[in-house]
Amino acid sequence: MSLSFHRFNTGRLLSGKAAAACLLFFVVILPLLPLGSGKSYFLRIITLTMLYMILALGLNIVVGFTGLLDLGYVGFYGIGAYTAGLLTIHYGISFWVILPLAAMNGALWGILLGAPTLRLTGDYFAIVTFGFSELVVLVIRNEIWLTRGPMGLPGIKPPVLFGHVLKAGWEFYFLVFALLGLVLFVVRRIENSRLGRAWFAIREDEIAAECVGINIINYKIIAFAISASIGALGGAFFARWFLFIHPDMFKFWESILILCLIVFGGMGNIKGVLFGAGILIPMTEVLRSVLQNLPRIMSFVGIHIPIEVAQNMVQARYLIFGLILVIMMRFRPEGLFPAARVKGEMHPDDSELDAEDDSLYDIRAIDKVKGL
Amino acid sequence: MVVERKTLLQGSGIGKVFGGLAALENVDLTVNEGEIVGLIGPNGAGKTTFFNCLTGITIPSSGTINFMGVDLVPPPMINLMAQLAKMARFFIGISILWTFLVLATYLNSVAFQVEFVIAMLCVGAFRIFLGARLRHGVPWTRGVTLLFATLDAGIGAIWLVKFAEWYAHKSFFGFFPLEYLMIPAALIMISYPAYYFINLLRKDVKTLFGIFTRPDAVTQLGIARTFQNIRLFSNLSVMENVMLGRHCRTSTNVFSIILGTRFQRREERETRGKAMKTLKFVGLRHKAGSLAANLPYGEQRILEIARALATDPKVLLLDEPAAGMNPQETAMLIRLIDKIRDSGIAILLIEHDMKVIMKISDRIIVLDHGQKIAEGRPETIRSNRRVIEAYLGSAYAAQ
Repeated sequence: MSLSFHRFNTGRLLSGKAAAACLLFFVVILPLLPLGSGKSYFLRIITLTMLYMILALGLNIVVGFTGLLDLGYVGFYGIGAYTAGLLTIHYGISFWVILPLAAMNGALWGILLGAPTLRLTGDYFAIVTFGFSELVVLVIRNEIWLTRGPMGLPGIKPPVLFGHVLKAGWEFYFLVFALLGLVLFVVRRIENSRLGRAWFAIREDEIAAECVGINIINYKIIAFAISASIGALGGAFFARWFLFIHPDMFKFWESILILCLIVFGGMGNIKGVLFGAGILIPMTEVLRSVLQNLPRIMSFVGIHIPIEVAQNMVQARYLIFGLILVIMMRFRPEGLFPAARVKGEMHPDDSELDAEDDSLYDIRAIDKVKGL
Repeated sequence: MVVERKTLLQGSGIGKVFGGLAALENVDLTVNEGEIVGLIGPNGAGKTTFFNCLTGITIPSSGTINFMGVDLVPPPMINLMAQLAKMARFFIGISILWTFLVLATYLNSVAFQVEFVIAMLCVGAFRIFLGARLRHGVPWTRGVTLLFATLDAGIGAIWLVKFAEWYAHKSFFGFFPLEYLMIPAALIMISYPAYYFINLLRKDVKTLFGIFTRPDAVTQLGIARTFQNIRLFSNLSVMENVMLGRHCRTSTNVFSIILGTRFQRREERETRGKAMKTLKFVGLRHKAGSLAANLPYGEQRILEIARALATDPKVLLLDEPAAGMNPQETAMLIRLIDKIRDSGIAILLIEHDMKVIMKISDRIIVLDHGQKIAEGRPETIRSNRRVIEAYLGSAYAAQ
């Protein structure tokens, strides 16, 4: 009997064949596709998308799994990026050593921020995290002796693998692909474990969680630390990929963007988070080129947009972004691919969720419950 | 006639005051091994508050609770309290000194002097307030005091560096000619945090702050409970709910989860097996894969009991388990409670259904307006005049 729960534990993201097809597509076909205005531009967008997937997976641990609203995630991203950048410039440490160092530094700051503030509940906690991210940007901007402040940090060297300096777009593409795989592996492992269950319990009901013996403060701090270390990992990759970092790159808007990816895709569901990032990040780039060319196209038709408006047209893409989110919130608040659990919270009387059928030991029924 | 049993849970003189309202006054309780104790009383009598005190959700204002030789709420310790009061007074003194010296040191070098003075006075006032609360052992003060102590050590170090700088350049700094006062002040600032760290982190001092009675620690010791308004993890499956009950009996950490060590896999398997066994015990095995929210009301109550049982408790506290159940389900519940008792777990039970409580309790405690008005066997309680008065009014009792 208990054997039938085997898959419950190691529930897969995709079935074997689909996973193989995906892998083939991402590893072989995608880097070779001649799309966009140039192959490197296209690869750059894909790389950026995957970077945001990593960040969204990290934030999802706090927001989706543990149920805390974290508005300061970009602070950890910035800490990771500056850790990597400064260690590279001053000490020339290898990228492969920097990755764990940055992740550890992120976790350290996650614990330092989390330990005193995680006792706060709900909105108050969100405000504190927001303050933290602003603080990180302020420190980066003002501690010029350390971070060069508003001048940014140029001259970061790209990673070196077996004596070969990574330069080409596809090399970074594979690098971020591997990192994404690593993060995905870790997050999946944790989700189906004692730790993941404890997080879900905290999200569902804190008092009940305490009464089954979960030290909720400790588990929130662990969630915060892991989330922060994944954010810092993303930051470290970003620094060594973009080769220039600036305090403006880690503004509050980035936190909101990453939060949007999660909300759009489906809070608490790894698949949803991946889809959210996979749709929204390329969309911002598509919108950028569309909006850039829009005045020219319009002038063909005979409508002339004033030059001041045309110049700022690209900024309007965030407006469209917001519109999509408003529509999502109205019609599908649980996101595109909700976790069964979260869906239950958003639509309390949805008959679709009724998993009470005869085939209770059927694996599929269990997968349905888990939303996998 | 009465078999002497080992006492598991003993509370004496438990009181809880909310604002000016005494929800509980001087309630005594003993739960012995293998016993079912009923706790009844009219609405608002303080039954659930009493449960919350026992499980550490609220900290009682007075009294002691002892569970199998461990003090959940320890008796007041006069010496320790005097020591804490001394530390609090010392902290207030340090705070006044700190405010004065920070102002003296930095006032010259800041741009917004008025704002700086106001801000520092506010921080100083908060520190004095903190000291005053620390004296009464308010739980949050412990961490905040340690935080301030750490910061003070840093400030002391900075002052020493500043003094060295001043000594090298003979450049005047600060508002008052206090340069030489800075050395002893900085030394005090650097050294006193160690004293606070040693003392405030001591185990017996911790009890003064009521930190001992955290709900998860209580569960770990072996007291499990259910709730009056069902508190299941409603969007998790039945199986996961019960597996969460095993949480405090397992110990896998983050690293072994990520690495997937053999220990982790074995423990996960054991958790699963044990959860399945518990579900079988309460008769919910066929629902293992459903979402907890989709269970009928009666089964949700049973599932809550299963979750509590999975924590391997010595004492199980049930808060109105039969509420909202039909007679059939109630009969099943009574059988289940009997089965739990037979497996060696003592039960403390709040219930409004008199049929249930009279049938299964070995002993009944009656609360009214926060006070214990009667205790005894079911037959004696049934005819107790004060109990009838509490439930039906004095006019009825007089008849």
